[in-house]
Amino acid sequence: MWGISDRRSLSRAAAIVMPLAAGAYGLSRLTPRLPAADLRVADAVSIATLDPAQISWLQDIRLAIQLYEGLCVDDPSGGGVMAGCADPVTGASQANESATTYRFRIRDQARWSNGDPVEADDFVFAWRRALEPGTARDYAYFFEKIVGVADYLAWRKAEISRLAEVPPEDRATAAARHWSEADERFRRDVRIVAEDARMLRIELTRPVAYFRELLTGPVFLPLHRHTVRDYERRDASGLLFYDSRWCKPGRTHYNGAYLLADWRFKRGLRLNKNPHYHGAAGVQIGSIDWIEVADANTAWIMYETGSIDWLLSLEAGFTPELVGREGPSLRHDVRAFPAFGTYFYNINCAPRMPDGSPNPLADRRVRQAITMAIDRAAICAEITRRGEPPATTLIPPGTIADYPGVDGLAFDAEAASRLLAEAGFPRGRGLPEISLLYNNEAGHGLIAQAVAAMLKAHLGMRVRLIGKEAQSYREDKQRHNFMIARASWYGDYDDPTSFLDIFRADSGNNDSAYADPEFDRMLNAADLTQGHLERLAALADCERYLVRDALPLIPLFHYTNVYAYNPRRLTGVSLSPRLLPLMRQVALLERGP
Amino acid sequence: MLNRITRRALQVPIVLLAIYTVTFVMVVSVPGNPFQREGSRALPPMLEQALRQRYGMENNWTFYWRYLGRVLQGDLGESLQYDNWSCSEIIAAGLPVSAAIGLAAILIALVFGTLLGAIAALHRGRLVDLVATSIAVLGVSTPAFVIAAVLLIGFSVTVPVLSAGTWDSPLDLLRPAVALALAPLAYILRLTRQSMAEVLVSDFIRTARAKGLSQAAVIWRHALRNGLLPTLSYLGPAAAAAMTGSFIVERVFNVPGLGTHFVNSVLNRDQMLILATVLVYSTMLVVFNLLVDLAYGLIDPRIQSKGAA
Repeated sequence: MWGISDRRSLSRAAAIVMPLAAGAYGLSRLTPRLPAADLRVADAVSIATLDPAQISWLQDIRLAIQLYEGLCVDDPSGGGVMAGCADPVTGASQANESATTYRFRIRDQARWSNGDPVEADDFVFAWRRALEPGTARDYAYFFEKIVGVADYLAWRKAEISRLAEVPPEDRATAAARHWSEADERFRRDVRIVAEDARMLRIELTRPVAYFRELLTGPVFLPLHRHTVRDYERRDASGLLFYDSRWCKPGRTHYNGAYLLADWRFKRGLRLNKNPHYHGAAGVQIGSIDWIEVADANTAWIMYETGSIDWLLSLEAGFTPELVGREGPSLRHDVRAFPAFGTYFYNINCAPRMPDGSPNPLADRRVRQAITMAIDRAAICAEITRRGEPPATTLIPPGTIADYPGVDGLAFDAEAASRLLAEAGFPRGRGLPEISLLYNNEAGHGLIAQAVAAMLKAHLGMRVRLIGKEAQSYREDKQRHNFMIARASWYGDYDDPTSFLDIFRADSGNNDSAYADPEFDRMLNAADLTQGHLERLAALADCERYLVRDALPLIPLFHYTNVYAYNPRRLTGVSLSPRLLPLMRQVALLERGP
Repeated sequence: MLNRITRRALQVPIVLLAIYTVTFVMVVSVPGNPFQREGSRALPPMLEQALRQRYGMENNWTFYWRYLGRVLQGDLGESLQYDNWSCSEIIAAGLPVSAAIGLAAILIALVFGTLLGAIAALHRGRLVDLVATSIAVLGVSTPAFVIAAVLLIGFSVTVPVLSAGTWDSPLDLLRPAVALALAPLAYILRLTRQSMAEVLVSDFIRTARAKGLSQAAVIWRHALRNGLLPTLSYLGPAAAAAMTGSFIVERVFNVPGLGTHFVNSVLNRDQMLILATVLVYSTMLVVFNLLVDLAYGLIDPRIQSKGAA
């Protein structure tokens, strides 16, 4: 039937089809498949970095605390702080009377994943790295509480400016001199001291009541200095740079319960149990796949079909339906629980807008009126619907041990209307149009619409909604180019100052342009109050002032987080608001129903 | 022929430079600071300065030339969003995945598109034709995210034969490829049907039949080969588009491909990653178009002889 030429045509067709098929197959097999892990955990966002000095996002912190163990560890079971790789806080690792000197004795059994002992110098190395210009990032300011750091950094920054002026041909020599002097100054002036191989001393400039809480943060994690140092580059500009490849698997060692065995970009990470971890005997799960699933619907299908054991977040459109199912037939494996964060609106407090026009919101009565005119319970019940507690405060109630908490301004439309009239705008007359800025993602628009409708109904205000793409929104906020803007804040450590500090006049995160010497003074005094409970009570006064009088913010609701996991299969899952579970505490039962 | 290819090959660097320049101008003129990341604390100005210096981004002029220099040396720069990964690593991780899916998709589109198109052309106006053209209309008009979601739920939940969201076995290639294939399949089907229909009524087909050639030989040797030509020129851009990934399809099937970065790098203002992905995509596009030119010669000897003459 086919002639010679037909066969030639056929082979030509095959010449096109076959390489395509072979290519597709070959490319799909480029990366070798890993054996199945004991536990598969999924998060919706990808890991930005595993460098503890640079970490600032929850997903990164969450992973870093599995790999590294600091002096103190956030206790996922009941809040507060527990001992990490230093001996329990009684005994040798104690603060002295005035609580400005801390000495930590590193456990004898604390080892890196290659068997090396964890040494005080590993902390000195990692901390210096985390505060040096060049490698320092978001949380570097935590170190400024330590004696000598502020002066050392000021000197370093001045030197960096000086080096920039040095002619290029002499710069290398000048930089080399600068670096050796920097080493000496750091050793001499900065009070992060390795007294011996195992004893670390830290001296603070003033008592910091929450210093142990602070120490649980990622910037205070140790690094295996002998391997990480190889990636260091002391630049001629005076800046410290690192080849970030040191974070990749196989480059360094870990002192946490797990070590990084594999990391595939945008796919996931493989953690294996660290055999040298001092508590290795109690670590039950041998290997973990930490998978990234960007799409919440897909994540849910993966969970339902058994490809994932534990979803660390579930931001799907149908989440409220899953959460809302209460009663005997509910999905017992979808859990909504309070998180350590608050959703609020910033109110621009600057006397004038960027275009020079007077800002009606500079009057605190107007801010109070707006706050009281928003029915936050309705927003939680009708829009967010994941069991979020309506907020009148900045700090989520009940998340900080012993903190009394306060009551902010509740919804009261009549009182709000009266206040607005007092401020000279009866029923909103005389008020210009108020703009409300938000980023377009994740339902912020719906909340903004509800708020705008409430302000119109209760106060007669005209509100213009400005939904922007995330980066433009962020830029507008930082330039204070808004009247009201969406905001949120998650606490970094278990202390009220972690929230209250953002409204200090000099805070880089004070998007409200709120500068109130009275508040700063109150906060400084409260922070230094003697006595644990007295101090927390004084901080509560600060918060009360913020959410009842000053109102640079409109609290809307406190966040909840949603986990999906089968409690009959996974035990030891912490529902702590900090969202920092320790995998070494989790155990896997036989496959549950 | 050779002449033409050489001329086209020489245009490649000029085209790419133009694309780089236009993209660069857009990248630096959109609002948003690449060093201030959403969800992160405010970066102190001194640190931002240090980072800009480190990445050679002090000003747009140095950034333009230094990045161009790095690209010419085969270094696509650093991602500002993913500190531990260079752009080259990110692309090296994503491109094979997208390329595998894209190749499979093009294969599916080519085989089924041509087949259905030929069948439709042979049975013009009859039921087979109607079915085939309906497939074409459906394929073109159904958005990929609908097809992807239907395939995901259909074969993971309704009929649980394939695992959801994994990228471990060649089977995982199947559904993303089908989802991506439908649009080009429909297009190829239409092209083939159209050109075959024209060819089938032409004189040389009548001559071939008159010679006593079998129906199959006529179609295979004469009609289909000519009918394929328009498809071929479409294949270059289609392959480049399919092989560089699709944001939606990759997201739904949780596939770690390159398409994600096209969208996310822009949202994150990850400037070097935007430039890197655009450069990779445009290079592929230009190269595939060149390959199509070469393939023309393979399928249609007339082009070859013209070049040689």
